[in-house]
Amino acid sequence: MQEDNDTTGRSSAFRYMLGGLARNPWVILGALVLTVISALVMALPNVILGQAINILTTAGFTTDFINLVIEIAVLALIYMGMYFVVGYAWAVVTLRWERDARQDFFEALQEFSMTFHDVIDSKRLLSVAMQDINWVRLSLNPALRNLTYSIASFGITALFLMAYDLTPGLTGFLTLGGFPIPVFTVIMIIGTPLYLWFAYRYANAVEPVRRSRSEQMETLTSVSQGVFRGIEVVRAFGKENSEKEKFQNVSQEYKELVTQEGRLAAFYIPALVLIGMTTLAFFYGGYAVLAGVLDVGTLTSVLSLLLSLQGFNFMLPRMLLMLRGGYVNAQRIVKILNWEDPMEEPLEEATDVDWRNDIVFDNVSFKYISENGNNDHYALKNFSIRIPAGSRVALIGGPGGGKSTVLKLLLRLYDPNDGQVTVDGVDLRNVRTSTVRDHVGLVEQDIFLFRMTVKENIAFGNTDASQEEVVEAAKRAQAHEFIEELPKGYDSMIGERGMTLSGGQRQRLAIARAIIQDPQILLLDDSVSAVDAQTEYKLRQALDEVMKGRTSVTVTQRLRTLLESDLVIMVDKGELVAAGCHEDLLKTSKEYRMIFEKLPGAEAVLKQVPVQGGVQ
Amino acid sequence: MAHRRGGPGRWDREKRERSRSVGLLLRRLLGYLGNFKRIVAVAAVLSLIGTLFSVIDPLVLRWAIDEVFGATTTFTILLSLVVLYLVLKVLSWILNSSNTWILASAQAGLVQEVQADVYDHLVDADLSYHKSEESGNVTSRVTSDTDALGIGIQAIVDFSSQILLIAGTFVLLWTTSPSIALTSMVVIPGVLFIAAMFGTVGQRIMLASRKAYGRVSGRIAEDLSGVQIAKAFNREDELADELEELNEEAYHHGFRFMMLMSAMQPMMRAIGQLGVAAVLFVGGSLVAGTTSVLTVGELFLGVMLVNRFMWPILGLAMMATQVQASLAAMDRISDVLESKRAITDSPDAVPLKPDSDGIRFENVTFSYVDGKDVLKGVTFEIETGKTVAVVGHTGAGKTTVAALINRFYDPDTGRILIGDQDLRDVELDSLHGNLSLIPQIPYLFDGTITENIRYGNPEATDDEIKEICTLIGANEFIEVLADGYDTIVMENGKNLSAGQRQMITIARTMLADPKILILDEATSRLDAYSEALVQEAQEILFSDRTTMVIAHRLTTIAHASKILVFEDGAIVERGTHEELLEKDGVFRRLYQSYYAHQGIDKLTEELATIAEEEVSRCGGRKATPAVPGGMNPQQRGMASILGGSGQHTERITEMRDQLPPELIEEIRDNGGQMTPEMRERIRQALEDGAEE
Repeated sequence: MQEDNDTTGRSSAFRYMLGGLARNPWVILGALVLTVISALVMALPNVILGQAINILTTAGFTTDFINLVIEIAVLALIYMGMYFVVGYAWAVVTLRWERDARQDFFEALQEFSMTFHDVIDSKRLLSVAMQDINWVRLSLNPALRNLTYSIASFGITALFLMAYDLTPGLTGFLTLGGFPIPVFTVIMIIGTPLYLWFAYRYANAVEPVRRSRSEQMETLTSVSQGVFRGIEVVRAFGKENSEKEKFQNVSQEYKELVTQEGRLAAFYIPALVLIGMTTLAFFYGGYAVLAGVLDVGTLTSVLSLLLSLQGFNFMLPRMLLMLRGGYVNAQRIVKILNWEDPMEEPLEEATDVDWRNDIVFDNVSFKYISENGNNDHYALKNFSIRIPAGSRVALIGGPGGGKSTVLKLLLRLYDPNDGQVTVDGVDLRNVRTSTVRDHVGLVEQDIFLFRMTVKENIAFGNTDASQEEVVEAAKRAQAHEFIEELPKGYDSMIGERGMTLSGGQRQRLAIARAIIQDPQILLLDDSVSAVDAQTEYKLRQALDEVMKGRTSVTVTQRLRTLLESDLVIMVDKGELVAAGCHEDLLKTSKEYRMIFEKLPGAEAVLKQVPVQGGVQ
Repeated sequence: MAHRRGGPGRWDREKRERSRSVGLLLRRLLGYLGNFKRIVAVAAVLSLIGTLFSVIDPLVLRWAIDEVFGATTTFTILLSLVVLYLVLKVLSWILNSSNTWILASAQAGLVQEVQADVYDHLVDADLSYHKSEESGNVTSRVTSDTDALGIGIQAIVDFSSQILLIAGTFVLLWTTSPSIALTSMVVIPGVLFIAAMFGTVGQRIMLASRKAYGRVSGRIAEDLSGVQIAKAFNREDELADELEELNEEAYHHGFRFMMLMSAMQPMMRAIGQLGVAAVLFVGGSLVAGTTSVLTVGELFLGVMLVNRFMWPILGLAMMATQVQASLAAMDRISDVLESKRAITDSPDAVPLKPDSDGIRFENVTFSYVDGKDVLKGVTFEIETGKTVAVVGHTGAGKTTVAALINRFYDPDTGRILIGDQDLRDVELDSLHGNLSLIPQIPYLFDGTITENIRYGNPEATDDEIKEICTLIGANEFIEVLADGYDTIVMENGKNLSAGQRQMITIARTMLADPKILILDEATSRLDAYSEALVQEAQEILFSDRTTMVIAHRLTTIAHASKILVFEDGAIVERGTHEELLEKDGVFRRLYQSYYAHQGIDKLTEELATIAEEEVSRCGGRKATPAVPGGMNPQQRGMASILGGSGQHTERITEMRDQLPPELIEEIRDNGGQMTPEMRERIRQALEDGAEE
């Protein structure tokens, strides 16, 4: 996957990462300049220390000496203020980027068609939205921020040491074939790249381990969560031991990875490089002092400059790691954002569609996209039907027959692979999805309610609805009574303690939601409802109410609904089996008769209907 | 505080008090460490020596500076000092590295051991533990809490070497010059201030930031699972706006935390420099003067050591937080380790005998919570090979009966027998191998559909799985799924309908081929047509098995050889369907409320009224979640499981009557194999009946 879009994927992941900085180039540039200055300010006291010691050894405890001490203190304060500003600038820029990146990512997810959400696990989307974006930000701040500071410090140390090489006594102290060797410079010029290279190599070695470690952690989490959620199933099948064994394997592997990562941190070569550099400088400097070409103050400056670089031993590799990791995360994000949506919005939208007119499925074929892309099962195949304006349609068929696919195509959650779905003669592809969904409403099978108040959930169908309208809709949906009995009435929060709604109640809320939306075409997925007689009674009243004055398509197995429909459409294995009114179908369709036989209470009806030709 | 929206209560809930003493928790923690005694001991020694070396190495620099300064020394001495320095440095590098290397495996091993221990305990924990906790919380006992323990262990191990580093450095400073040693202490208040700020304000900001972040995460999760509804109602923009608010809030908190973090580093460095200035000042005055009491080398040493002194102190202060966090984790883990174990085999448990069959409850009383009996003196028998239906309102105790037969719990009094064996004397493995429960709410594991079905019988071939699915009518929909049988089930089957999920669990159980079958409204989410197919399959495969059905459809009631009517944990009526209807008692009212109305006749207001009275007579239990043992019905938004589409009982009996008895016998004798010829005969018989 990563190979095929190599160049574009890479450059765009890179661009994505730097996008945060590029938005405020001047702020970041200013911060960079300040970073270099503060690294200088932090290095200066080491130099001053040498001067102070020189004064001390020559002139003693003089005002000059005291001034230098004060200088060190003042530099410390300047540094603090300055680096605080640097931190502030980086924080503002990168955290804002993170916030906006997350928002944009979420909005992009919402924009993708349902195909996308079918194929990609929402747990993964969530972890990309939260963790991956967070890690990209971490790779900029603190990682990149600290790295620039470390590199600036190395650079400034190198500059100071080079300058020492140029002091009168030291030039030409050591020569090779008459050519003076600037030893400090050589130490820095060879040592620094070596140090950075080893640090980078370390980060490189750790990165894959770190990644498989977090992947293994994900496996571990999902294995245990799966078992704990389904603990009853595990017990009922007596699988405790095999589950323990499975977990043991996963956690052993996790242990190996953790150990591996921990061990990589040992024997950290760059630290050794720095030891070498310091020792060499120590030896050369000491020798120079001994030879009288270098004063002891400068030697202490050199040593303390080098020793203060030790502080980066711990930080630098971690930051390099973060930076590298951030790049991988950016790739993951970009890959999702670049997902090609098979559904396209029309450039120019067909206007004046009369949504109350006929709905036509014209030779429609549709299949769901699978993750590995070799699905050859059609959910609907060569499906054609005309639904007359204003009719009540019942849709029946076995599981997987294509009932819900018909509803989803009408909502334009998907576009057909072949053929077209038209309303008033207009192909739905020529209408924006948002327009379609303004005019087509849905009461779904597994009612989804948001963690909002009851009122907000009802008004979900129309945000502008007033309190009166909400109550009116609830009344028409037979929901008002039970809502009033909830702890806080219409302001009760769905999903809170003590707010367990029964299936029948949820369904009535969903009907109220649809009534508020007032669509011209209403889709109901009402295939299952096991409720007591009273609830059932109210539900049917609510359904009658909501179906008034619009075209409705109901997925149902309810006998009564079949009898009361203007048109019954029967699908099986994605194909149209029969269509017509109930009485006609009983007479003409063998399949309908067969299904109908299975329905509760059908015997009575069957007895009255004589079988006509074609049926045995 | 602008962000205390949740009110003060929220804080208290998050920052739960530890319920165990620090000593106990530490002992337990060290107990785990005990298994790695040798490794830890070696590591500790290495670490101490390494630390000692790194305390000493600046001393070498000091000597050298003093030597060269006086110019009294020779090149050889300088060289040997340099070599000494190098050796010390490299040795301490090797020692520290070895220490890290060795500890890495001990630390990971310890975490793994705790993980496995906690996991095993959780798998074996009493069901009530799982019922009372959310699965996400349970999982974090295994994952994040054990990780926190690992970090805590690291901190404890580091602790001694840090202390040594501080003490050693200070001793070194003191021997060099007490005045410098004392001067260097000026950094301590600064460091402590930073540490304290971090421990108090920092912790609070971090917690607030984490919570705000959690709210964003929760909102995104919810919005993603409802994305189809958002699309259907064109509400994407509003949801995005709402997220933006939360996002903004998270940014705000994150920013504060970030500023604190970015302030800490420069502050520490600045404090270090101020310390250097102070030492330089004091030291300078000591070096100078006629009676010099300090050498230049010693002054340099002092300056070097100030910084070395400072970071471990900060580290120590920070460690306190880490250790605290890991103690809190240990506390939560201890909850698990001390939790009540699920029932285990008694020492003299025996396998279920092959001829043990049939279920008998003898005066069984049971309560989830003391004092609230869910079952009260229940006695009944399901004879071998018979099907018994259990009916009653929600909360009458039906699911509890099923749970007890599975021995998820033991009865408080009375006993349950299979054949003549008390469940308490039967090995659990053999019990669960012989008996299967299809629960109300289908549960699917992450994995392919095939894997989920095979859970019932790991040895089953793909063909056998397909056969079962064909039989119950699941094959049709599975084949149409994007990847057929290899379709990955995500998030407990978000890509499947509720009915499809239930079909898969039914296939799973049928594949397990149990001797005894318990169905807890197992087909409640199927449409009537699919249910008929499942029942047909059940008739074929399990007609001679002992079966208990918690009934929600009339067909099952009519099929049953006996019906038990539960009310408030007791059996109030028992008998056949016809007998009970004639009685005009509890069953008849139940029947009218739940079963009678989905037939062909128009539902009348009268029937609705009867139902309303019946439901409210039972205290409106409908609104409460099933039994305490029931899974959270909110989980998948399917709270209504009660009732079902009913049928006119006469029709059913009629239908059964129409079948020639010898045909029914024949099917049963055939042990499940129903030939097409037989099917044809059944259809014929039914049609003959219909035409009469």
